[in-house]
Amino acid sequence: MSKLIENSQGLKILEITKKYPKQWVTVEITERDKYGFPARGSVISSGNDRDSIMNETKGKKGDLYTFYTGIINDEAN
Amino acid sequence: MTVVLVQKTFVGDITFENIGLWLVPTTIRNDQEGIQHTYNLLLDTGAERTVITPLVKEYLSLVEVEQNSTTGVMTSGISRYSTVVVNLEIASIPLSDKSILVGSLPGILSTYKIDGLLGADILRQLSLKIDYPESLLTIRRIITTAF
Repeated sequence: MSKLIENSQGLKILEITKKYPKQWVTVEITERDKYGFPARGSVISSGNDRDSIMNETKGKKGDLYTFYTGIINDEAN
Repeated sequence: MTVVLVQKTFVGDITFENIGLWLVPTTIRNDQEGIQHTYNLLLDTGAERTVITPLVKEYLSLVEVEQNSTTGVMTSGISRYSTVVVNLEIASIPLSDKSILVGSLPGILSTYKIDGLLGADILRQLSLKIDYPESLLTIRRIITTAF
């Protein structure tokens, strides 16, 4: 079950992977690095179910980034 | 002629450090709907074509330009794919009007928690430097502008 999280403070992407381990997260990108890759973001949704994450953020405009915070071949879900 | 060069360090990236795979944050745009989203696509030199999952297509409200256009193009598994045309960005590298496939990822990749593959159709337009010891991916694109 996923949950919406309000967080106005942008975290580094690596900090997000540690704070939300082994789950899908969608962040609003608050800063990109000098090359244009996402560097910091505010988590707007997180959880174990990919579909739920998508449904919660569908239609939301902005510079969003969705990724899995664990190892991608992680069996746990 | 413009040369765009981007670099991404994978130091601290848990997938890279454990299984040595390169996940490239790639922004996919549906400019008609004013929607864009960045997803991690697996850099896959063994894939002929770039593929996104049906979930991504649905999220971005992408319209298929061709259904069941391709079958079994990957190194493993046989799947059917439709085609969409999108604008992509890898960091500050623009890749406009690219025809990419939509479908389930083949074989073992279908169990990976990723949203697609960056295949040779896109990669062949780029110069890649994969530096495992430094955990550094360098991507360069030469953009020629016609006057």
